[in-house]
Amino acid sequence: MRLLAFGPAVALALFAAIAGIVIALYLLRPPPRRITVASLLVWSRVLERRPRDSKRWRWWLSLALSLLAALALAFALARPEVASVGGAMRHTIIVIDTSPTMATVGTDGRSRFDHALAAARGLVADAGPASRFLIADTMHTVGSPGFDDRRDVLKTLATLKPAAGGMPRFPGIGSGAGGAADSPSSIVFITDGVAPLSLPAGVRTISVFEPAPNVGITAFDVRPQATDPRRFDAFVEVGNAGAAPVDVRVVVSGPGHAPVESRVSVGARGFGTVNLPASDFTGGALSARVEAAGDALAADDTAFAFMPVNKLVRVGLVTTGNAPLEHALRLDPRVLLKVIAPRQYAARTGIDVYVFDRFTPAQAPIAPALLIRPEAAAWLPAIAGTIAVPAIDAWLVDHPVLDDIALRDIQIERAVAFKPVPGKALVLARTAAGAALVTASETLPRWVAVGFALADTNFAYQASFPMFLSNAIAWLSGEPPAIGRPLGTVTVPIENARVTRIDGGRVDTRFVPGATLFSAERAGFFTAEGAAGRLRVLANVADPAVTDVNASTLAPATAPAAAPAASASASVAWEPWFVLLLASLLLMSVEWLAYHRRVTE
Amino acid sequence: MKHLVIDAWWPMVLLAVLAALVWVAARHSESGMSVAQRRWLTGLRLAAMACVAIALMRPAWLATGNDVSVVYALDVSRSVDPQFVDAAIRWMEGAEAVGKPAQSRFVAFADRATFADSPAAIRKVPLGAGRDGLDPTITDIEAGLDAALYGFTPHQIKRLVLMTDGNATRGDLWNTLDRLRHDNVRVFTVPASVRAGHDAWVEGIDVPAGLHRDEPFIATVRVFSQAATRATLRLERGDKLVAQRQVALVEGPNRIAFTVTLADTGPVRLTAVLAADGDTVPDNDRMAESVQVQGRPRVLYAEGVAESAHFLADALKRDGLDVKTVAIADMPTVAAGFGAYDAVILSDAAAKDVGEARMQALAGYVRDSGGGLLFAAGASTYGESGYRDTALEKVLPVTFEAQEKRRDLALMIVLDRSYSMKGRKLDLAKAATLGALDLLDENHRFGVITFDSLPEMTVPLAPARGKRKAEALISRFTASGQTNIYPALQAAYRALVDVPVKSKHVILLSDGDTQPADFPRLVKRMADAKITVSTVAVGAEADKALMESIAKLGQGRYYFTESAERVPKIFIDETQRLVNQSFIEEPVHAVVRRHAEALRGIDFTTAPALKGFASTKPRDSAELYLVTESGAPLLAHWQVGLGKAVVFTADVKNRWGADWVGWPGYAKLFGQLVRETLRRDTAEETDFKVTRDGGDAVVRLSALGADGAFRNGLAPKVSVRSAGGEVRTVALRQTGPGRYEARVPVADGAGPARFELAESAGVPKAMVAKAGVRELHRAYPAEFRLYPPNGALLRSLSEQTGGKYAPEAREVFAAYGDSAQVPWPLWPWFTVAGLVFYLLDLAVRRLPWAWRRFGGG
Repeated sequence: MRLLAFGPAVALALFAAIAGIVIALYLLRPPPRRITVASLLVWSRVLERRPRDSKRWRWWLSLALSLLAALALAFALARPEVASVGGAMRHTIIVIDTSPTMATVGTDGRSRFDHALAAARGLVADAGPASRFLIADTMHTVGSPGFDDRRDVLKTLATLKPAAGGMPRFPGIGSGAGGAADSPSSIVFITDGVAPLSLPAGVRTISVFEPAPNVGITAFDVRPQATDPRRFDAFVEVGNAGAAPVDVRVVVSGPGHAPVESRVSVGARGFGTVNLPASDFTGGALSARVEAAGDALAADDTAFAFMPVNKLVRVGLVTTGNAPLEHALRLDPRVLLKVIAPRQYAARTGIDVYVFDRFTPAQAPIAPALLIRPEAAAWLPAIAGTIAVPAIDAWLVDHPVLDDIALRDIQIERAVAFKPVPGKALVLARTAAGAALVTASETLPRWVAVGFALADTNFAYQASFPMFLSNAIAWLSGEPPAIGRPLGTVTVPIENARVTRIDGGRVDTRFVPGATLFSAERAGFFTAEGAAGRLRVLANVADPAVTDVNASTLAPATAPAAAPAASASASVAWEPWFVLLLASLLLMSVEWLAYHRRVTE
Repeated sequence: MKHLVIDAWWPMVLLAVLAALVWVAARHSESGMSVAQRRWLTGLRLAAMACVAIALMRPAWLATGNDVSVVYALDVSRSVDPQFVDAAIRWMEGAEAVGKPAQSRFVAFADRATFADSPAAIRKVPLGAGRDGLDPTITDIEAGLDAALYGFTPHQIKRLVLMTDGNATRGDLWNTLDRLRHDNVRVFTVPASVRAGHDAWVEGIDVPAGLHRDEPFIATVRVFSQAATRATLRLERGDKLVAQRQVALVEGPNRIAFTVTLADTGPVRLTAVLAADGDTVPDNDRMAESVQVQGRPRVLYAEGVAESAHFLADALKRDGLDVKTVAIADMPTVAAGFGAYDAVILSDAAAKDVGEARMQALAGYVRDSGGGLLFAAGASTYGESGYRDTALEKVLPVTFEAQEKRRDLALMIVLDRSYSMKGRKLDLAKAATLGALDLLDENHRFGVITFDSLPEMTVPLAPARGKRKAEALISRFTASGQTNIYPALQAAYRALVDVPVKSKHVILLSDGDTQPADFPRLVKRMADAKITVSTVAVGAEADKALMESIAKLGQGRYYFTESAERVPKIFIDETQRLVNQSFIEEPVHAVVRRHAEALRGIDFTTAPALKGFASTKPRDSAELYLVTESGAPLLAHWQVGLGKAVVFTADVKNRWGADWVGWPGYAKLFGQLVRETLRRDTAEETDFKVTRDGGDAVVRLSALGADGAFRNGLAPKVSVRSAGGEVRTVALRQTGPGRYEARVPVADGAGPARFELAESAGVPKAMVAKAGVRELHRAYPAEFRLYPPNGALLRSLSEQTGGKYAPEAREVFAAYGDSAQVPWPLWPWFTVAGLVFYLLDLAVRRLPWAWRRFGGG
């Protein structure tokens, strides 16, 4: 906000008026002081010996001091005129690259981002006092940026930091940005050139790139063995961005067992892989860490993976008798089976998952349930009718219950078709005509309903049937596979979820329809829990594009900007008007002292 | 709320120091001023200095501002109705007139955003894929919001009007939520109407994996329609029409299934073309999908009766199977020898001809390699030299235990009752005879001849209805005399020779030497009369050579036992063999027991009768597809290990199936049956997938060893031929145990992008062949899917930011209790004050009037 801003003519008039007033005052002669003395003789001799012109220079000095003090104030007030002397008011957009590789530390111990901030501060400090700047960044952390004066810009710069992950994008700035549609703007982009960004025309790029050694985890995963789902293998890929081979120590940690360690030699600008047995861990979050000499980027040195907990599941099979189903359940080594006759069924604790075979309780069970050929019940989707010889045409291959299961060979004599309410139940398998034959609800407690009895199908004779039961029980017993997300804003598909870190600490969340958002600023393992269930989230960097901090399109910066924040702040703070005011204050003091000590008159 | 802010306090310290100097200098002034004048001057000077010092502290007053800065962001992508764009521009102009905001900005967005000078100028924003224009085939709401955030003027109330259908095809608008909330930007969402109200479009084509050439399969085309309408849906292979259907589309999603057969191998392009009544957007009416088709299934057909092999072989060839016919002796003897075939048919082959080695190999091929086996019966298949308890039987869904009882059977038991049989031996023989009698049905004929030196018709041959009477007769006879077999056997012959039944059998039991006689002649006569003879020699003194020769000549079985304790079991086993018939040669009709894919489209009510079938016992976990009218298995199927096996208990040629080979359902049944049992690529060992993610193709390979272990450390490469014809090789990076991945940018072009695994370290030729070729076809932009506006999303965005969904123009500018803090710098005012005080100071010092007023001078 600019007040008392004058144009050049008004300012000149102001200066002239001030100067005229001061000079006019000094042209006045104050009346001589009247003092009653006994004799004038002494005073006459004194006056005779005194040089005639000694009084004039004191007057001139006094006038000069007073004039300078007054004009300094007037000049300070006329700040626009000072700015105009320095050039036209300029609008500059400074875009700082805040992508993860900007956290890479250089040989001077400072990060590329530090250098970028220094370069930005230098631009601000070197500009005219009336210049305005808009600060934006590639990770979009600045709210709604507008053009600010230099002091506010420095404050904005101080709030920036490089992101640990996410997708960098050059800001959508244009001619109308920052409310300055009528002013020409120049755009300066300060970057290390690693993030592949599409720049608009006319952008001036300042490089802060400096080659650096870096080792990071570019992939980390844990998978159950195909032959024994209770045994797990871990895989770690290590990337080396440096120009020299490095020996890397890889440590995988997890609950229930001492960390497993391995060493791998990774060639220059290459990758190394480590395969480790993970079955000794009891399950849960596993972390991988790499250590190497001279590592320049810390964000990619840690990654997380999730290993399902191996635990027994107490399954209650409610049936009048179904040998194939009972046999298949007993084959699952994780299942502790209890067979219950329908007339003996009652909601009880001590059962982790119910399997209802052609029996449907009137009330939803307190535990998750797999229902085979259920009858109509209020807590289940309505039954649209019975279909003869339906053929399953499509199924959700990505759903955990149908993982690695093909339903094309299943032949069905008859089945009931469900009418699930969208949003309340998923259709896992349907006929070509769209009839839902297998549905599931993710609302706790979960359930899966299969619309055909085993006696009416060959499903029980398929190799996939035990896998289906195993998948269903794993999903129903509440430990779905973890989802992987890059760092940054993480979206979890559970409404109103409570999100906690691995140490149990709460994470700030935002709620949107069907999802919960939170920020993951570093690699971590999060648990989101809501009415729809629990979900594990792995937030990892694990990106070769981040680890390869030397994949820059820019030449190394020849002389990295090194202006410290304090000097830029000082440069901006000591604006001319400020100096003039200070000078005026000092001049007023000096003038006062000189006058009263009779140095001037 | 804090209204006054001070930037720095050090000028106050400076002022204190300077003020002290001023005061001291004034107190000890040599200026000759009066005290009053000095006081006035000191006050004025200190006031001037204080004002300047305060100005140096950069004080600012935070005033409350009500100026509104509004940014309008209008979605100009392809999906938005142009009429809505016009309406939105008018809405903006109206809002401007109503709200008179302090500042307004106008943003048009599609794939990115650009500012326009006025609402009307949005019409002039160039659209088109290029550097200058917005690409209307993409909606990126996040980009629109991002740009809008740069349009606000600082220190004003921020209002954002978002006008879009909410159907983003790129970006995630929730990424901007934190910034919107941080800067108190209220978002008012205006739902845009989509372009057309009667459009229908192809959403995708679903085809099963692992298809073979000439194999019928169901391709399902997914169609979305904005309104109920009629349409013609064509399915094309390459440029040729495969199928065409008239369909009635309902509003919303539709699924239309086609049964398709492809005569090509490798990647085949299937294109769905939709022509709907009233359709308004032609760009989304066509979609192509690549189908990976393997070659014709290779079937090895081993036929026991070579001259009859052409019936099934020709039928299967006509059905698109690649059939190789061999003699039994030419079948491979190791499992690997079957590896080249997807299924094996073994028809009417005697077990002894197949041999143990081939059976082991075939069983291993099915169980361990996932091969398919169709075992067809025949006269050579069963009998004493059958497959009972063989390695092959273990992989079949039935066991060779005859389950059918003979309807016409005459059994004559000839028992030695000589003195040597006295005691327990005879008791056991009687018990054995009674046991045999128990196994017979009422329509079976039964008789007992006991003999010493002479025979006696103890139980005359008669239907076994009067079992109690026969039991009484059997229990009554006693041991006596010498052994003479011939007359007894002759009596049995006479009793049976004229009995009008098909199966006549004699069980002869003896424990001693008999008088010499012309047994061969008698037994030959019996054989000529279709009377078979089995013999049981008991004890060491029995004439074993004679008994064995009688059994051999009599086409029966010979038993020897040292102990009479085994006699009852021998009798029962022997009787069961007689009663249970290995095969039934009488007309039977096939009845469907369970609907199966192999039976789809076949009307068995029109099927002619089979002239016979083999009697088998189904396993517990077998599926019976076809049975006889009496429920005997005709067609049984099961999954065994990794493979599937089917048994057809009639034959597949011109004996029992003589009438079937000319029946239209014959080729269809066995074609579908073989296809159902084919070895399927389970995609576990080598799972090669290519999917599209935006402008990239994501190539994934999952590799397991034969033992199921992850194959780590491979260096797989993929040869990529772009749509423009450019070929390059891309290395896949391992991302997990046994998992490899690469992301390849694919530009759109006339043809599909083609991906093929290349031979490299750890990736042998066989793995490359198994992976096959994948193609990605250009899809129309998602922007052409004209879904209804996503009101829920827009409503939520407004709620999250304190805005309003579908607002009136005046509501955008309502106060909502908002205000902006406007900083007013106060230093110029203090500078002016300081200047005034300073000039007054000089005036008081210089004006004569002042001197006079304060008594100076």
